[in-house]
Amino acid sequence: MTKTQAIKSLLIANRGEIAVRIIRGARALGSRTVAVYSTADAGAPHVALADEAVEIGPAEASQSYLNAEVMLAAARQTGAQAVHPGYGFLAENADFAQAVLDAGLTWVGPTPAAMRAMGDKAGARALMEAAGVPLLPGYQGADTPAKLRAAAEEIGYPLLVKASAGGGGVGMRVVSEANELDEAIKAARRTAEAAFGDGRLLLERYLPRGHHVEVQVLGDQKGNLVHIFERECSTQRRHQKIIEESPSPLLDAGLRAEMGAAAVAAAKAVDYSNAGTVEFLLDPKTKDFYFLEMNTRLQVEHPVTELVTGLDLVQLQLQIAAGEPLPFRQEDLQQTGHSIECRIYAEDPAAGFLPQAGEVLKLEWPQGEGIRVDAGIVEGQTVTSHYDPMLAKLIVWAADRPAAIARMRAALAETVLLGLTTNLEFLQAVLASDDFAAGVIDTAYVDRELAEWAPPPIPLRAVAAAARVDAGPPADESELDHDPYSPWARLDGFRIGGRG
Amino acid sequence: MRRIYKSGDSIFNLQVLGDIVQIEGERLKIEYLHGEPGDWKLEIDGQPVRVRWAKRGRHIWLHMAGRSFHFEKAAGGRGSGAAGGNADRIQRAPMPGQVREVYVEAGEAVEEGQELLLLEAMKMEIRVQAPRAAQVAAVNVGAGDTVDKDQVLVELDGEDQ
Repeated sequence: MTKTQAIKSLLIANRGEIAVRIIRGARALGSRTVAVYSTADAGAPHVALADEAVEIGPAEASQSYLNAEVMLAAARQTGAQAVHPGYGFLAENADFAQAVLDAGLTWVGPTPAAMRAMGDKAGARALMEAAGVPLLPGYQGADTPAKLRAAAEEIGYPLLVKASAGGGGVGMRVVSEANELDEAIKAARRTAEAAFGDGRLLLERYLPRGHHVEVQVLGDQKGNLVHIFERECSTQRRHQKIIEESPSPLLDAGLRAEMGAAAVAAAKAVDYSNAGTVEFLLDPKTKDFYFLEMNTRLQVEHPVTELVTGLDLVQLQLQIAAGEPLPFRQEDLQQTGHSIECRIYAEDPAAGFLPQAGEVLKLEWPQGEGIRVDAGIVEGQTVTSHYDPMLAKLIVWAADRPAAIARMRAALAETVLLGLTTNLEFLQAVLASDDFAAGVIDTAYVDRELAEWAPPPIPLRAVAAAARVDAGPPADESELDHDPYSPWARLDGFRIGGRG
Repeated sequence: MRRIYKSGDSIFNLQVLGDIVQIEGERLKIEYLHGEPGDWKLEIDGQPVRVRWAKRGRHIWLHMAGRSFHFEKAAGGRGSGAAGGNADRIQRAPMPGQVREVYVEAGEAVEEGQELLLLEAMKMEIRVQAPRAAQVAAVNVGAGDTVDKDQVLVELDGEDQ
C-alpha cells in the first residue's frame, strides 16, 4: 500500500465504455481524470464523467483518437501526468508510448520495446520459439506471393493469412484450398495496409475447431510477473469476440497451470510489465495449445477476470505504472465462481452482422446481484459509423457456470436498448444453445453454424402492442404525438392509474 | 381501421376495431392500463404486460417479455404496393461508409450476383452485388467517396431484360 508517486492526474486517450471504466478506476485511486473527445462524441458519457474534457478533433479517428500529436497536446494543456490508452486506437502503438515517455509523462502500459517485440507478429513468433512457448506451424519472412505460395504448400491447408502488424482478427483470412490463396493474400494485404499502414503478412496452420483461450498476465517494473488465469473467448463472429468467460470450460487445474506458466514465459521473454494478455489456440481434443499473439494492453474482456478474482485491473495498472510492486504473489491468487461477458453491438446478426447507426431512444440496463454493466452510451446519444459498433458490455458473476449462464440470460432479457438494431437476441440464442451449455463452441462456430440465424418469429401480441403504441396514449396524456384518427383517440378521459 | 406494419421481412396487416386488434385471423383484446411516456402497462387478452417503447417518425421500437422489436408503419397505411417496386432497380448503401472500389460502369451488363462495388466501414468489407441480371443505368459514386446509409450507389435498368 505504498503511496509512492501515485498518479495525480490521468489522461484517458480513448472513448466509449473503456474510457468510462478507466475514469472510474482512476478516480477510486484519487486521480484527477482528463477525457478526450472528437466532435462526434461531445455528448458521450466519458466526457460527462471526467473531471476535465478536451476536444481533440473531428469524428474521423485518424484526426482525433488516432492522432498522437493532439493527444500529447491535450496532456500538456491539462497538466496530465500520465496517459492510459485503453484498447484499440493508440493502445498498441509503440511510437506513441515512446512519445508519451519522451514528453516526461507516465505511460500506463508496458515498455515501448515490449510493445514493439510483440506487435511484430513475425518477430514475436521467433521470440516465442526461443522461449519454448508452443507455436502452430507457420511461416514468417519475405512475403511475395510466390514465397507465400511455397510456404503454404509446406504448412498445408487449411491455413490462415494474417497481418504481421495486426491484431483483433483484422486482415485475417482462412484459406481452405490452394486456389483461394492469391485472393486471400490480396484481400488481407489491402485490409492490413488500410488498418495498420503495414501490409506485411504471415501464414499459420489453421485449426478448424480450435478454442481461443487467453491468459491474463500482470507484471511490475521490478520484474515480478504473475498470470491471472484464463479467459475462454471462442464465441466469435468473423474473428471478433462476442462472448467471453472465466474459467474456460475446457481447462482443468493441470492445464491451467501449464498455460499460465507458458503465458508468464512469453511475457518474460520481452521483460513485460503492466497488464497484458497472451492468446492461445487450444485443440479441444488433444488439449495441445499454441501461442497466437500477445496483446500489450488492457483487454476488452478484462472484467470477467476481475469478477472471478476480485482484482481491479485498471487500478493495478495505474499502481504499477506509478512504480509500485505487485501487491501479491502467484500463490495468493485464486479463481472463484464463474463470470461471463457479452458484448452488445449495434449490428444486425440476421444481415451478416452489418453495423448499425442511429439514436439510442430508450436505454435501461439490468440490475441486481452479480450483474455489471460497462457502458459507453447513454440515452439520447447517436451511435455513428465512425467507431467500433460495440456499445456496452454486460458482465455477470455466479457461483458456477450454469448459474452464470442463467443470470446472463435474465440480464439480457432485462436490457432495454431501443432505437437501433443490436445483437441482444443473437446473444440470447447462443447462450440458450446446448452447444454453449456443453462448452463446445469453437472460434468458427458462429460463422459455420449460425450463418443463417434469424430472430424467432414476432409474436402477434407484439404487433398489437406496436399498433397500440402507434396510436398514442389515451387522450389525457396527449403530450406525446397523437394520431387523431386512431380508434383509441376516442377513449376520451379514460385513464386508469394515470398521474393525477 | 387498417394498418400495415413491417418488421424485417415480415409484413403484418392489422384491423383495429376499438380495443380489438385483428391480425392474421387472430383477435386480440388490448387495453391501456397506465404508464408514462415510453413505459406502459398494457393488458393483452387479459394478461398484463409491461411495454417499454420509443417512437420516431414511422418507426416504433418496443421491448416486452424480454425481447425487443422494431416496426415500421407502411406509408399511407392502406393496401399493399408502393414499397418494393424500386427495390431491385436501385442499389443503396446498407450502412454508412467509404466506397473502396467500383467494379462496373454505366451501360455495362451484369450477371446476377456480380459484384458492383466494395464498401468499407467499421472494419468491414461489404460487397454490393447485382440482385439480378441487368444493365447498369448509372453509377452514382466513385472510389473514395463517403456515403450515407441508404444513399443510392448504383441504378440498374428496368426489370425486363
